[in-house]
Amino acid sequence: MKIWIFLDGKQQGPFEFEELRNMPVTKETKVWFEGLPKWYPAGMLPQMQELFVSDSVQQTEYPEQDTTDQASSQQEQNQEADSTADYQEQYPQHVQDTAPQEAPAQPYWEPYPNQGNYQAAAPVAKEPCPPTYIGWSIFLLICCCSPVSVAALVASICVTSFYNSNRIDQAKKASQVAAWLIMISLALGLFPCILLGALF
Amino acid sequence: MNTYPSRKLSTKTIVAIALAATTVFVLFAIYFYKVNPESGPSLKCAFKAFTGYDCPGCGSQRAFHAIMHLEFAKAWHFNPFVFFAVPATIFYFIVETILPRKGAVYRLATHPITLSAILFAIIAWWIIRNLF
Repeated sequence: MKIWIFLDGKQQGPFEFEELRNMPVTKETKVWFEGLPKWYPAGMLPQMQELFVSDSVQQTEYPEQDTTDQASSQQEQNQEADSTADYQEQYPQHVQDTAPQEAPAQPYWEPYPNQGNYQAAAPVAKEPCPPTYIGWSIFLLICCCSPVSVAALVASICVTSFYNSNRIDQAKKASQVAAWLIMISLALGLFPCILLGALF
Repeated sequence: MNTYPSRKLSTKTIVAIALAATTVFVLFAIYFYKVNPESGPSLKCAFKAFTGYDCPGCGSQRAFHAIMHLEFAKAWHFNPFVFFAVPATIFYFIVETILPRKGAVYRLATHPITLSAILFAIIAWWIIRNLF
């Protein structure tokens, strides 16, 4: 991981994490690495906590959220999504509490590649919901109404249901299942309809 | 990180979608204006052919034909469900293709409770129309 720091009044980097151990990085030192929307004091970033394990004597107050998040960030992905969702809400307040209002000089912001739309690529941006194909499901249930269309609609419901409970992998799977069921239901429903219509 | 493309559709795409939708709608309207399911050839419901029971959509072709000839009461008699189902289906196609997947409307429209309500409404209609 390439890390930039703001030390001695200027931006320095990129450094590897191990290099930071030998540098006078404190909890107040501003830090940036890819994925962060802006610079944060190192004390606030769970990834930087390892630097401060030894000098816990002069521990400044940083929210207890950080330590819990640090633990959970090493766990499973879906839980990470949970805890990181908290970050998004938490960060801005911390920054205003601890960071002075100083306007950063221009080079200060440089490392971040796409400043313009960092909202979209926020550090912990949740993936958008996979397609539910709900329009197709409803259309097929009404028009072709094989039992498969009922299953397709249920699969569509599962997509958002899984997504809302942060089980994104399962939501993606349900989305694929829904797509397959819709195609099967199209084949089972529409073609017999046309065939029967042609015969009688 | 994002597996799905962002939903910022270009003007070109929106025009293409609008054109395709209009074409489908016009063909649909012409078809149901011309074809009278009660006399001429038309699509036959496989569910009804095999079980003898009406499906939720049975009668909708006759209803569309009636709507195209502005006989709304007759259409309601054939299948009242199309008056709710058609707007809902169009709405959900729009939701799926155009709306941002993070917006409030998308989340409300695709919320499991909303969708379950629709599923139960369809199944309830399916049962009720065969009972009475």
